[in-house]
Amino acid sequence: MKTSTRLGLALLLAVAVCDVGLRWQTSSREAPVAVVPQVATDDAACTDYRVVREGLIPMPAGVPAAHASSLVAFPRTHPLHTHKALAAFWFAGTRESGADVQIAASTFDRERNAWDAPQWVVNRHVVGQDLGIQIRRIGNPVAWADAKGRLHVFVVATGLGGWAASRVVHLTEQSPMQFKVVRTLPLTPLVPAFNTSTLVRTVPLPLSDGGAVLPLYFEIGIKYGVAVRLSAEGEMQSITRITQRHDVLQPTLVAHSPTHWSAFMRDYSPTEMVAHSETLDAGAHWQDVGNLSLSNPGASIAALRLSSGALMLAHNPAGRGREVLLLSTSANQPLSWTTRTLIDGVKADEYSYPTLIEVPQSTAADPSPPDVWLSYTHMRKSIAFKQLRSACSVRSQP
Amino acid sequence: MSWIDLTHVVLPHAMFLPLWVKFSWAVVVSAVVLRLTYGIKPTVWPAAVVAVLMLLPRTDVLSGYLALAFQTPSLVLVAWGLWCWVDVVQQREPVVTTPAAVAFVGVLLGWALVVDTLNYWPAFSAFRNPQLYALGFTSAGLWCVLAVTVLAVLLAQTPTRWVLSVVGVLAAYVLLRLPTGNVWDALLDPFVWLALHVQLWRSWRAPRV
Repeated sequence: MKTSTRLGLALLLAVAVCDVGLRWQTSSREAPVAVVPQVATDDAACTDYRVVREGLIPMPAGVPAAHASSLVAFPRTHPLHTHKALAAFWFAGTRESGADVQIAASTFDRERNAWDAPQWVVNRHVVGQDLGIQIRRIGNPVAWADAKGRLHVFVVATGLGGWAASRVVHLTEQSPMQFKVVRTLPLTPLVPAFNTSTLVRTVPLPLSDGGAVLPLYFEIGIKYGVAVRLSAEGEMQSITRITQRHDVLQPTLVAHSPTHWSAFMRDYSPTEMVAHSETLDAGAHWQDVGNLSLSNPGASIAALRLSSGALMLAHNPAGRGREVLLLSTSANQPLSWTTRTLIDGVKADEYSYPTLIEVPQSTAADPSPPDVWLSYTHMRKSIAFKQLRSACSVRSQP
Repeated sequence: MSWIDLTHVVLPHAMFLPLWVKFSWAVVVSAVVLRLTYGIKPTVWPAAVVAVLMLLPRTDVLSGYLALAFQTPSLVLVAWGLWCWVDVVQQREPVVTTPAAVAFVGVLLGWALVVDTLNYWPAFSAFRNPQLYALGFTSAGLWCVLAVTVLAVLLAQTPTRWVLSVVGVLAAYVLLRLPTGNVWDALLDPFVWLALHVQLWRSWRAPRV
């Protein structure tokens, strides 16, 4: 064997050893599972929620279009937690895919019980400048709070070719509600896709290590869901496809148990039913398990595991589409849905792209079940919200 | 999870990324200009001017637009660009050093990534829904690359330049995790993949001419 060959092999071995050493420094010791609240027996039976507050979130002045909202509750460790309950993020501008579209945000003030004036979070020029890349458009934001209470926002940014050529850009909070671009997440290979055609839409599933699972989807022609695990600091840890289907997108995740999770997905097939995939090993492997009994007109859905243990799903029905917004609830397992109509509009109305989160009723330690906050696109002109409170909680109050 | 986790994603430091966009495209575009112009007139000035312009602050429009369409080049393409400059400086003719067998593996890997991206793995696959791109983020992906490289070094007549390039590319990937943290992206981009197709086609045609 030639000396140069031996040297080459030795250097390749050194590369392998170096890789193991560097990974050792960043490896996690805890196997992440989903955060699943302990269920109080009395609460478990209560799936009846009533609207206690609703309205429109204020829009930036002179901006006629809004879409794709996301909500995040301020954790106790966030500097704004004492005064603000939650924040809403959405994209707004002249029209969807308009060159002037920016990400807007508003916070909900605890004392005034009202939304604050909106602020701009980021636009395509700032994203492009920070990444050194030209950005054509930006869209869907998704917000999440990490283990230290710092907010992260994941934003869709398009390359050449519109939404189908989208990438996901990660921003982190530098000071309260001020964000800095971190990176474009690597979600598809350079061959063949130049890391394009992956989007975000729905809120992450929190994990026991302070991290989360961020649902995403691929959508150039064929469509499928993807799950990205985030560390407690918000760094990408792994990526997994969650279905073998080619006609489902915008997965929304719920945890039945720490390791048993479901992904409900928007259906893009003629079947028009909510698609369902599940994992039994905390996201390591996923399998398709058919459809839910709920119809879906190819519209985004939002699922939430309530603190009571029940599941809640906000969705539009096939047939009437986005003019009607429904709220379905089910026991955790087996799934058996009860549906009520939240909004029954007329043709050409649009109440779509819902987001559901739970927010504690107050800053103090409170035995009352958290409220459910729902946001959705209102006529593509603004973002509306509803604050829902458990009927059991309402009855128990003086 | 095992005692040491070798499966988690390690991404490049965010601080490097805007610099990498500028530097990588400056190297690649200037190398292309060099190869196009040097045959006509043996001067490096046009390519050097392009490289400097693309690296200067506030003149990153071209690299920004290239990144808009193509994100970033692979480390292999950047290595090709650097070798183009070295060849000119040392007044050597450009040579193809990648063994045909390795080019074949590269072409196959690219097609497998196409299948993976389109989620079209056969349903009867023993490994249901294999995650090929995700494998590229793990140590196992790197070990696959190292195994192919070692086989090529032991079994084929690999030029020293090719071995140097592979070691340099893999070392840069491990130390900096560029361009995306995924070893497949460090090795392949559509330009490299296309070039490997051309190389295979030429090597297949060569004995018949």
